Amino acid sequence: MTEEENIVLLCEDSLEGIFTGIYEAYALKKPHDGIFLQIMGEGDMLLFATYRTVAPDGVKTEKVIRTLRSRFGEKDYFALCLAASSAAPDKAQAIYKTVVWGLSGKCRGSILDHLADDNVRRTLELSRSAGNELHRMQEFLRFSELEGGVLYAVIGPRDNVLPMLTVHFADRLPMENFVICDENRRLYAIHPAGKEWFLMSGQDTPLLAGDEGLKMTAEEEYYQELFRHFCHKISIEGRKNLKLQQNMLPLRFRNYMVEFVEK
Amino acid sequence: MEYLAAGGMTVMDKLGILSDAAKYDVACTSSGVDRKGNGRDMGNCVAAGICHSFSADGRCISLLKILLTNECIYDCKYCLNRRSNDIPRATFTPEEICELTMQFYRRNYIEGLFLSSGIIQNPNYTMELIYRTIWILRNRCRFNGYVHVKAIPGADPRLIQLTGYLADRMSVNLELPTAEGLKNLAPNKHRKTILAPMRQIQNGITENKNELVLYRNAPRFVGGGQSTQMIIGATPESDFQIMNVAESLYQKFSLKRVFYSAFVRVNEDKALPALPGGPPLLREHRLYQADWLLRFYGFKAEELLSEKRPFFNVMLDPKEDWAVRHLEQFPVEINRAPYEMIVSVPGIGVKSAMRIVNARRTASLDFVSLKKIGVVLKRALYFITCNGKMMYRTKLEEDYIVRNLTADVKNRQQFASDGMSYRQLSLFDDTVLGANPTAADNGKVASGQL
Repeated sequence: MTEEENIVLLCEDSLEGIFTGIYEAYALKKPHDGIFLQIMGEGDMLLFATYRTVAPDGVKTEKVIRTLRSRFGEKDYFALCLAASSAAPDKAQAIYKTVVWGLSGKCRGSILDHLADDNVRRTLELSRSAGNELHRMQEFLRFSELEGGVLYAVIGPRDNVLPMLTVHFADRLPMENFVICDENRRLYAIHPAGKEWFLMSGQDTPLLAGDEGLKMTAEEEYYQELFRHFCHKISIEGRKNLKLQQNMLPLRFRNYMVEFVEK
Repeated sequence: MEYLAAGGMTVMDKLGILSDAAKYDVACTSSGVDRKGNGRDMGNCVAAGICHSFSADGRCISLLKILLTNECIYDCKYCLNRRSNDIPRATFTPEEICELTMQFYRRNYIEGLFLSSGIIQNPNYTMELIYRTIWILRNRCRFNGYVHVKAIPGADPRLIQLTGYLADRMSVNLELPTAEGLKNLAPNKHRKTILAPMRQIQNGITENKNELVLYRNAPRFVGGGQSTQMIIGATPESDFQIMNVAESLYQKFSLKRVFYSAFVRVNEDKALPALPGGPPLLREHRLYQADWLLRFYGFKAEELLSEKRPFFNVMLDPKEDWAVRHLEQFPVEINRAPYEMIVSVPGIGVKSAMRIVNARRTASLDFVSLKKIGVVLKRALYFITCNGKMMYRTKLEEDYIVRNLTADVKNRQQFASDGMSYRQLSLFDDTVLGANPTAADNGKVASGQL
């Protein structure tokens, strides 16, 4: 045991939570070796440590974001945000230690190039895997048109990528009213046509398009059928390779995709 | 709900026929253009490309890949839509295509439109229809997503140029690797008429780049570059010939991509080879691997193959094959060797090579950190040292390395599981392969002794 007791900061599972945690860790003004960051309710408990809960704080988060942006640049800052959206339980610690390393003054160039350091490598791993999940959501998300013309999609991503995903779709469909719902976290991204989008969290189990209360337009079924027909016709019988298909498009995505849902 | 189109055929029927007819086209990527949305019109483009689904053959569905029409005045022997085939014919109107594209795009089914066509009446008429479709899509529907169109060989250069200003990528199909093959299988097509629009688009892109330097808002001409495709296995060319053609296309025509399409026998014709083992998928796979070596790894076609070794190895991928024949250049010292050498090691790709070069600036790398960086040590360990040490005691001997690289040969034969090997594809091959090769034979093939 060291003379000083280890301190574990418990933070909320969100970007705000983790960044506030990092702020508090610096505010302690103690050696970083003795400070750990943990997501609340995740990971193993340490025996000789004091636990402190950190409440997410907007102002502190802002300060951390400003520092990270100016010191690391936009690209690395975005990579850190992606890592923070990951579903892995050890993300808070990895990001915290990466930031400490990056700000220590020993680091030249992009922090994420320093892969010989285990925390940096882990952060890059998390960031890459969340980035892949984001990309897959951009690929496999399917909108349905509800009566009234609103586009509605339900997704079930592993990582919390809904905000980044909505940025993509807001750029792509600026003049559409759309709602994307993260089924696992009960989060909704709402984009009114031509206006800024926003996030909402709900309590109830999200509805699927076509459920009672969410009626699809008649055209919607027609276009779904057209697309199913297209997917069926575009495949070459002589090259059939279901294993390859499953490698590229794992089964967990298919429940949300019109071409794989049995009608 | 019934959507009857002209001629009593529903849009559903037409989509079925015309996507069925377009499925042998392989250039279905949506990459190469980064265009943000303009805040008003629908659509943007992502440079990496987005695949929206994968069909049962494992190929991606990125664009709405359809023909404008499958009517055709030509009679190419390999083509499903040739004049002499008795198949249902259909033609989309430009408005139908636009409506489909917009509605699919809105629902995030597709990344854009891939429009090809059979030759209806004459090349000019066909190209005009294509141009009209894209014009409506861009100007009336205000579509800002990805558009890939075929330039029809023999069409008026003016039409091709106008279309180029509306499309993100254009392609002219080379169809077959050599002029001779083209003469045999596609009697109505000529090498010259195919290369002319290709050259025109290349020059257009170069000129446009100069314009864009001067005027930032000048209209873009084929911003995503030009691609082409050729059919593999319908004519008796060797891999060496094909790679040489591809290389000169990249160098002389500055193409973005060359696509290889394993020949699928859709017509019964005496001029076409029989393919008892199905399409030559392994060969196609090897060609793509070699294509990547040309474009991203700095290899040249004559380094990979030669007149004496005109075909790729079945057992080893082209990079492994090259490495075991150039052992004098190995082992490579990870902590000191230049990037070009590191990237030539089997098991190290462009990304891991970049990571190695960046990471070794601050720390000395060992095999554990290489593994974490993403190097495939199973393949790389025979060719590298870290701080002067190899990972295990291995011999730097061709036979030894080949034996070890092909040890898990079962996995590597996924393409050849139906007994197909690349040798059977060649029309004029005089060796007859009987039973499946044994493990010992595999080793011999790999080391070039068979």
